[in-house]
Amino acid sequence: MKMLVISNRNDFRIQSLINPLRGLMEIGVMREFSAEGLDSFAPDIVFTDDMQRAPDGFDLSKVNELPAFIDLLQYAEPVKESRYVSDFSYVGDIADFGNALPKLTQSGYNVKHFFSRPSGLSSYCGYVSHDKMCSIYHNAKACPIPAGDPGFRELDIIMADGNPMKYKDMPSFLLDAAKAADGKLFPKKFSRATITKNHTNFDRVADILEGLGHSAVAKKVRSNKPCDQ
Amino acid sequence: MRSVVVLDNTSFEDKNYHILKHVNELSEGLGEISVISLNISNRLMNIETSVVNISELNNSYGCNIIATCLGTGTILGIAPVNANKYLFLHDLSFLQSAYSFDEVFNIFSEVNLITRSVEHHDTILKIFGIESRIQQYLDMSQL
Repeated sequence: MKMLVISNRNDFRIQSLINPLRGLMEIGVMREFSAEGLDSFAPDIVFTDDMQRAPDGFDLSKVNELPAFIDLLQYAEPVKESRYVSDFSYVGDIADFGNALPKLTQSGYNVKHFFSRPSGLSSYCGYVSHDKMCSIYHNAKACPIPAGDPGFRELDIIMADGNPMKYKDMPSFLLDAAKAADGKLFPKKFSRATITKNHTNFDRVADILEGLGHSAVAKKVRSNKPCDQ
Repeated sequence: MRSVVVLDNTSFEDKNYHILKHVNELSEGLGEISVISLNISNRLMNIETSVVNISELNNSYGCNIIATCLGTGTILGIAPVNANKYLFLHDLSFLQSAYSFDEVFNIFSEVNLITRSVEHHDTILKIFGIESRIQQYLDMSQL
């Protein structure tokens, strides 16, 4: 069986969806659509940005509509590590947060902010590999979540047994921060068991494959899902 | 105690000026100081002691070895040499660029860190949780 991904997007969600299929089928990637390439590769399944030219495939623009999920293959069990201990830890682009994180720093909290691009803020702590993310969330008193976050971060925080602190507005955010620093735990959208059961990349890509009529492959994907998390 | 200073280069710059001035002052009295430079081709400052190649680092047993930047600190951190390892952080400019938190943490954990001010000390302590001694200018007689 063969699968072809036609996309020039560097989207972690697309990579996460493809990961469970590696080993089950031959996977090709095409940055730009080529009729000749499509014919010669002869894929059984197509994930594409260009639905007009490959109408039988899965429309990758719908990735934005998928409910959030975790990448079970990249999940690393969190560990207690003094190097990551903080009041608040955030992994991502600080632009998503406006001036909320600097406010926490100014309030005297130990804020750690990790990202591949430096922010210029005193809370910037460089970048970390993906497998350290759970430990970072695990060792913080709370993990801020921006208002417009699509949900992936919250699931990662829950899986890390962290404390998700959602931003609503600045006054309540600062109030929540003070409570979190004193040990308050915020409600979690799902339990870890629910996430591993229903909200993983294995579940999402299996749903997509079923929608495309490949039920047997979808069943195989579900059966390959690691169950020891 | 014999001391070895590890520089990334010996060109004219504020950091090298102060460090090499100190090296020259100490070498007159003790003669137990040598300099290792990663790049000895651009030796522009007068150094009144031996300047050797980085390959000599592993022969520096039982002395104080002082790296003077993150790059030389990386080399010193993993060098299999039985010596007192120091990293003199002349400035914290690396915090303004993309760096690997874990790599820098590991380097800082392998050496005795020297920062230049209380502000630098506090910044490193806050980010990495690692204590450092404070010397505004490197003073090897205090190591």
